[in-house]
Amino acid sequence: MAAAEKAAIREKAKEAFEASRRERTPFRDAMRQLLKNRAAVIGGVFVILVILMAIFADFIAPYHFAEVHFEDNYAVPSSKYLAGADYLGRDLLSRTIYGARVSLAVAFVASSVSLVIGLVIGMVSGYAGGRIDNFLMRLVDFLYGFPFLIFVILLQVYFKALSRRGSGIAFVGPLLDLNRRMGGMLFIFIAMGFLNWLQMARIARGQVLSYKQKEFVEAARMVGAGDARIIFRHLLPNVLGPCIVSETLAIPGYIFTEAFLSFIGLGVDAPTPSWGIMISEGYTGLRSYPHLIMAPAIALVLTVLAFNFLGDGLRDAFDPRLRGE
Amino acid sequence: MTRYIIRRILWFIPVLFAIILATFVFVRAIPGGPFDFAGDKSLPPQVVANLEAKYHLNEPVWKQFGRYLYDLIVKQDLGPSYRYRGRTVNDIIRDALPISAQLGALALLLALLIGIPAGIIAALKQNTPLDYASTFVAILGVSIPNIVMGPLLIWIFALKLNWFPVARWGAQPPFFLGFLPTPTPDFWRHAVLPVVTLGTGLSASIARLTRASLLQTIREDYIRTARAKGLAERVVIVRHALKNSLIPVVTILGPMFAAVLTGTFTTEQIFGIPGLGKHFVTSVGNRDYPVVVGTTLLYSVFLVIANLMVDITYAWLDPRIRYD
Repeated sequence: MAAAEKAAIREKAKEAFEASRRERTPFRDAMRQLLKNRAAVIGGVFVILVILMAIFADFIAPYHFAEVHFEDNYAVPSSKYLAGADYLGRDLLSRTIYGARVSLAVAFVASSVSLVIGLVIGMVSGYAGGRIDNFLMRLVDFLYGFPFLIFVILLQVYFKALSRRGSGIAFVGPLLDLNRRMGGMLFIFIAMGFLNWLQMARIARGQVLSYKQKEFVEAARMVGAGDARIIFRHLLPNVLGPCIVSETLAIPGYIFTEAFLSFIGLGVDAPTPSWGIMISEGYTGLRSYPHLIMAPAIALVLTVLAFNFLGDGLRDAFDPRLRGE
Repeated sequence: MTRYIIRRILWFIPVLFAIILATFVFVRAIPGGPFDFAGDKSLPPQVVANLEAKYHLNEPVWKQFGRYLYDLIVKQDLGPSYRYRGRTVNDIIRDALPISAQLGALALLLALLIGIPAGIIAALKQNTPLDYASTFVAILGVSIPNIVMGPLLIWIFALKLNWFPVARWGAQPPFFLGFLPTPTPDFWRHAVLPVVTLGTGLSASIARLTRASLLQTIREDYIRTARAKGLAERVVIVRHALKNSLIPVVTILGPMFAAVLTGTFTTEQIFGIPGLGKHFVTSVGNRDYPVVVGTTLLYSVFLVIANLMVDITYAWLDPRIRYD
């Protein structure tokens, strides 16, 4: 047999092997399962649409969110203002479209922050074991009794007061500046990132513990892989799945918390629109102008609904035990 | 088990201490003080200084903290309110806590009464239209936040139909036994909208969890064994499957309790109910330090006790779980 022929056969075998590997990794399986779930797909598509709406708000929204039309205050929905106008005559549809930015930004930043903190703590704890594990898990248990919403409220009051009065501490100045430029969002990110990481650390630790003893980790260690390589190449991919699923399921909670903070006046700064602020304004005028609350309320509910469908689908796809027959 | 419970209770001490310390120091670090304003006007500096001296606010924080701990532990005294002159934090809690507890308990009751049966029915009729309908309603229920549900209910049932009052709570202190409301028609009329607002989301998440958990349980081997023994389906479900499938439901009762607490924050805000959540939010704004620390402490006590109760119930429901 010619060497070229042999090489071709080997190439083919390799290709077939690669193809079969591509066919059936747990991740691929999960994705296929996810795509079969109609509700999850619709939810996912809706989330993508909301993200696009938030990014391209400047092109989609008929008006700027802060554009005031005093002559049209409290206008009911019409062809000029599809969802009506608020007490300053600002177009509610436009404000709702821009409001998606706050909700989504909070959802993604808060979940990323808690994902990273949780992963680091959880993986270190599970991988190191022994005294470090004991200490870190004690810390997590310890913090579990903390009423985090209360601390988020306190933090927000603190940051709000700080940005009104300024601070004497040197490094805080630029932060305050950045926060102002972000419409008051920065400090919400910081406060909310701390909400969920305990849960995440527990999940990550559990995953590491269950994979640490598996043969593939042993094998990797035997061929001389260091700790860093084992953690990043072998453990992280297995730990990440459940953590991301859990974060997706937590996103509605972040969106609700931001809306609640805005509702009680501790959210983003005016005139940045957020659905929570708009709902709060609409609620105040509920008796005379019930249309004010419609657009932001519908947007909030639909977005959270979409995230819930997507999160449920992800969870079912990654956890085969929950699959219906 | 007893040793485990005792160890857990001892564990409360450092947790609660840390929470008090953190809140105590942090609330004082927030710019602005409790006596910056009296109504719209600001007070003369001399008056402010006198008030601060009266409440020992001119002392170093560690000294104030020591004094606070001493009063708390020795006299069970949470201190005076800086805003409501002549009222102590104990007074405020005595009046406000029962209202929050009534609201939260009714909402939780409603949630369990709707959520568990709905979840069971959905699981037993899996993949039928009934299942799809209840699953959809449940997922819709968890997607509607209190700040949307409350105004929606107010708009429909209070403003349009005029069936229920727009706001307020129908019971005032003093309460029977310190926390029970007088169940007058007026109390129930006021309670319906806030309780439904708070209870809907909770019942939806209980229903979802019950369904998922029961579905998992009825695939277990011991259920197959029970069926193979020829037991009636009803007995299999009630005696064998339900008890075990309620374990995950119990585990979220802890977070659920926390959700009720935070839910009362929003619901009290929307309906103008003078409960603890509303007091907390107002007192942070007013820099009413003792009220902030006192309410935070109270919430934390509830939270750690709830978590402990969940762990105990967990062991009771599943004999395989043993703490030592």
